[in-house]
This record gives sequence, structure tokens and C-alpha cells, in this order.
Amino acid sequence: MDALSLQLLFNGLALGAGYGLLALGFALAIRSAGAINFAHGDVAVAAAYVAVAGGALDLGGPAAAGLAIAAGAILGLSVAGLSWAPLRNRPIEATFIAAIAIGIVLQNALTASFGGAPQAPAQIASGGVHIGAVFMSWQALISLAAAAIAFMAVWAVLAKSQTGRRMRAAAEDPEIAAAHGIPVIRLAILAFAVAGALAGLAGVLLAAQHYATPGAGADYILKAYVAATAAGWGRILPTAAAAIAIALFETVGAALVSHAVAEALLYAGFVALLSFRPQGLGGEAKGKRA
Amino acid sequence: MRKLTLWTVCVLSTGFFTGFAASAEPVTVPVLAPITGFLALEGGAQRNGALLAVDHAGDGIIKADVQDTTTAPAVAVSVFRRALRDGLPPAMLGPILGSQMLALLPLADAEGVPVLTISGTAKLTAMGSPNIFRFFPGDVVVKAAHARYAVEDLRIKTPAIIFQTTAYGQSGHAELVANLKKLGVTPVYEEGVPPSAKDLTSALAKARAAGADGLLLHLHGGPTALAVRQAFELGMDLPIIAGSAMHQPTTAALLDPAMLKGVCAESGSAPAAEIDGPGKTFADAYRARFNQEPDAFALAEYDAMGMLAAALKSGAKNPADVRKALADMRYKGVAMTYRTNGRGDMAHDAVIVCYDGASHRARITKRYQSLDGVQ
Repeated sequence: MDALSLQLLFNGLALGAGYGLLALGFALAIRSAGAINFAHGDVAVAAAYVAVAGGALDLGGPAAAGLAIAAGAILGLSVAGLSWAPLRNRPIEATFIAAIAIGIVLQNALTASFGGAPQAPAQIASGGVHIGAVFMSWQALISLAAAAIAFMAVWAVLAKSQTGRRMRAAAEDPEIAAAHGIPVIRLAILAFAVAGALAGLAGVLLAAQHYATPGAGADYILKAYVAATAAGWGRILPTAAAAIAIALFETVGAALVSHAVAEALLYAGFVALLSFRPQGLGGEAKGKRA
Repeated sequence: MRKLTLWTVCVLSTGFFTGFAASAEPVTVPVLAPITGFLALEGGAQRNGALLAVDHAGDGIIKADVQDTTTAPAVAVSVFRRALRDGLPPAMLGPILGSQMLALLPLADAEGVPVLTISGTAKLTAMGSPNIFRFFPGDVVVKAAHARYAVEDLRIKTPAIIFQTTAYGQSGHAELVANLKKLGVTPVYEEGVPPSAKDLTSALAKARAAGADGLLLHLHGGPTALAVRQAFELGMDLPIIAGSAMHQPTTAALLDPAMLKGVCAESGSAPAAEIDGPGKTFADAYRARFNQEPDAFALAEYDAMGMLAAALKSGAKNPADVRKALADMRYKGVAMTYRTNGRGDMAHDAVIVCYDGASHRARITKRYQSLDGVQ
């Protein structure tokens, strides 16, 4: 493999770390609350702007990132409180229209507060290292490490902990779970908070490398939605893996053809996949789909 | 005293108001701008430039009615109709976004309202409308400067072009290629990238592999910063001449100064880089009023409103008067002298700014005048 291929692979994985974290949170909310949180991308962007504000106050990169994660969790809770909890017994369209509305409010609040210019939060670490002809920025390496830790933590909680088992039970059949004393609503709200924190982490990592604009959430949520659908609705870790694959396709595919053609091929491939396997590659873990 | 001096210089330099008699009722001028959405940066600059011009008009001569068009053509149409609810204004300032201006053009013609715009979309002034007046140099002008600086000053012989796939990008790309051809240069690599592209490594690497000796960018602000940063990280030791997005202080602020070494950009003007004269006076007033750095869009809108004020001063009272005044006048604005080429293109000059790698501040390296031959 030549140096350019290795560079593209590294860049794709670093981008995929951000996409994967976003998709992980998006799928978590689907799996745990049956909620399609269309404000998820805007939560990530808003959290990134919190880090931008932290940088303006001379907070270092790590502190600003911590602030973004906390902001993401709070915003996730807010989305749950405003768009999911009061509407969860209404037709599902009501919850996701409400989430879209919250996302638009966030976008415009960011534009009013920060303006429309692209912004970058303080980097957790600047510079990088050359390994052979491949440049690896410290920020990208931190993104990869943070994503790996988050993926393992979510997997461990879901697979090994009592809370994770309860979450899965609540997701499979909320009524039976509630009858067994599982606090279904509380667990769903917890899932929103964790999803928001993951979005916050994704937002700050992506913005540090690719900059933030108030409208960037639309692109993020599209990637997360495609990943969730391609992996199989509600499949958490496969959704994150699909998001990483999307990022790799964007970077490596662009080298093979061009950016414009790679983007077209990505979505053409998605349509083809849905034609042959509408349930996604892994089948649906959650039976409802928007 | 300082304020008074500033004001005096500004008035003298723009020539807004010589002999302007204050009227009892201010003339309301609708200012349509994409305040929200993906062009909020440019829309905000547009709004600020118009408001500063109204401030400097003084005496309640003009009142700006700022309306957000977002980025949807349908919203711009709706806002346009709302602006006409209380009767025809003598003129209005249109949104910077080309697709919105194209949607408004037939309405402006149907209503007979002159629309002053800073949109660069070439087609706007090529459709024979008597009501469109463009105060930002179009691609015909700035891409001539872009190509000439690359070829004549930097001696680039085998450039690569990376451009945005949007209408903005395609229009600039076509003009850039045409101007390079006039100079006897053919690009060795060209690629369009969507604004959502997060990694430009492959395009940069292909440009290098094609033997490029210079990189010409025509991208929006975020992608421009990304391309400059990734070229630096790849160790590409090529001169970069970017589109006007790179002259914006907000774009430069995304990069370490070292990454900007040898990076240049074309623009209609660069008020933040002016070190004296009317441009500096405008920049200081803008900073004081809005606590941010001005860009070429803000200055172009300021000059557009200034020329409109001058037209009203000269006795124009209704759309027909304003249309005739704009078509006949030469107006010495802050950025340049404006006069129509017969199709509503009012701006014909451009500048090149470059960064030295030591700070985020650009300096004006070259000024071009009458690039489209309009004297």
C-alpha cells in the first residue's frame, strides 16, 4: 500500500471516528426509546459551539471538550423532555417533527449567537507526527482513541451491566418491562443523555478537524440516518461501524473517482442496498422505522 | 474629536452627501439578506454594511428595513413581496445568494424596482434586466485577477484548480479556466468538490501527481481553510491562490499563521487589510460599530447603499429616477469607482491579498483596475 493510500485510510478512520460516535448515539436513542432524534446532528454542532465558546474564554482543548460533552448530555435531556416524553404516545411522526423543530431552533440560535462563519474549537493537541510519508495529527489520533473507548464503554454497558440489560429489555417490549418493575421512561431518558454526550464528543472532535457551522447538523444527521438504516434499524454497534464505512468511502472513494462521483455512488449504493435488503445488512433489531 | 475626524474623513471619502438636503420622512430601503442559513456569514456582512451606510447617511435620510431571506429562493420571493406591501420603494438591496437573486429578477422587472446586489452570479447581469445593479465584481472581473496574478506574477505554468460544485463554484471555475486560456495556460488538474466534503487529501494529492506548480482554489470559507491546512500537512510546497473566501478574516482565523505562508487570495476589496485611506477609515468604523473585522461583502454593500443615497440626493424619488441615476452616474465609493457597463455590472476592480505566515493579517499585494475594460 502506498503512502497516499495509507494517508487516506488514516484520514478516513479519523473522520469515521466522529461519524461513528454520532451514529452510536443516534442508534442508542432508537434502540432504547424508539425515538428518531432528528435533532441529534444539531446537538453535536451546538456542543461544538459550546467548546468554541470555551476556547474564547481561554479554556484549553480538553476542558472545552469536557464542556461540550456535558452540554451534549444536557441538550440530549432537553430533546427528550421537549420532543419525546410529552409525545411518545402520539404517532411517531409527532416526535420526529418536534425533534426537527428543536434542531432548527438550535441552528438559528447558533447563527444569532456566533454568526455564520466556520469556527473551530480549541484543539486538544496541536501538531502531529509523520510516520513515513503519512501525517497523523494528534487531534486525529485522539479522535480515534476517544471513539474506541466510547464504543467499548457502550458495548460493555449494554452487554454486561444490569442497566444495559434493563435497557435492552425496555427496548424489546416496554410494557412487559414496565410490568416487571423496570423504569422504562427513566432508562429512555438516560439513553437520550448518553446519546447527547456522544453527540457532544463527536461534535467537538469533528469541528476541531473539519470546522463547525450552524447548519452542519443536517449533514451529520443524514450520515447517521444512512448508517442506522444500512446497518439494520436499532443495531447500535453495527450502526457505528456503518458510519465508519461511510467515512472511508468518502475519503478513499474520492481518490478512486472524485468527490462528486464518490458522493453520488455512496447514495446510489444505499438505494441499491435498500432495494435488496430493506431491513438493512443486519436486519432490524427494532421493528419500527420512520 | 476622534469621532468627528473619522466622520469627516468618511463623508469626504465617499462623497455621499454633498448638498444632500435632509427630508422630513426617511426613505425606507428594504435590505434583503440571508441572515440565517449557510450564507449567514456573508448575509451578516451584507446587513452590517448597509446599516453602517445608513448610519453615515445621517439626518434620517434613509431607513433600512432588514429582512432575512434565509437561503431558499421561495423565502426570498416571499420577503420581496412583503417589502412591497406598503408601496414601491425607490429601490431595494437584494440578497447575496445568486439563486435567490435569479428568483427575484423577474419580480423586480414586473414591479419595475431597481435591485442593488452584491451577488457574483454571472448570469444575473446577462439576462437583459434594466433593474439589476451589481456592486461586487463578478467572476469575469475577479477571476481575471486570480488568473493574471498566478500566471504573470507567480509564473505558474501548470496550475491545478479545485472548485466547489455549487453554482458559485462552477461559475468561478469556468471564468478561471477561460482567463487562464487567454494567458496561454491550461490547468493540469481540475476537480469539483461538494461543500460537504470533509477531506480534500485526494484532490490535493492528484493535483500534485499531475505536476501542478500552483494551486488555484475557488471554494467557500470552510473548505478553503481545509484545503490550505491539508496542503500544509501533506507538505505540498506549492503557491496557493484562493478565491475571495480566503480574504475573509474569519477564514484565516481557522488556520495557524504558519499554514498561511505563501497563500494569496483574490477579492473585490479587502478593507481589513487596508492600512490607510478611505478603506482604513471604513474598517475602523465597522470595527467600532460591530466589533468584528469587515470583509469585501460588507464594503460592497456599504458602497451600494452609498450610491443609492447619492442617487436620492441628486433628486431621485421613485424607481424610475433611481434606475436612471444608477445607469448614468459614476460613484466614487470606498472600494472603487462604480459605473455600469450597460448591463448593470457596476464593479470592475479587484485586489490580491497575501499572507506572510507570521500573522492572520493579510496585506494587499496587487490592485487591478478595469479588468473587464470598463473605464
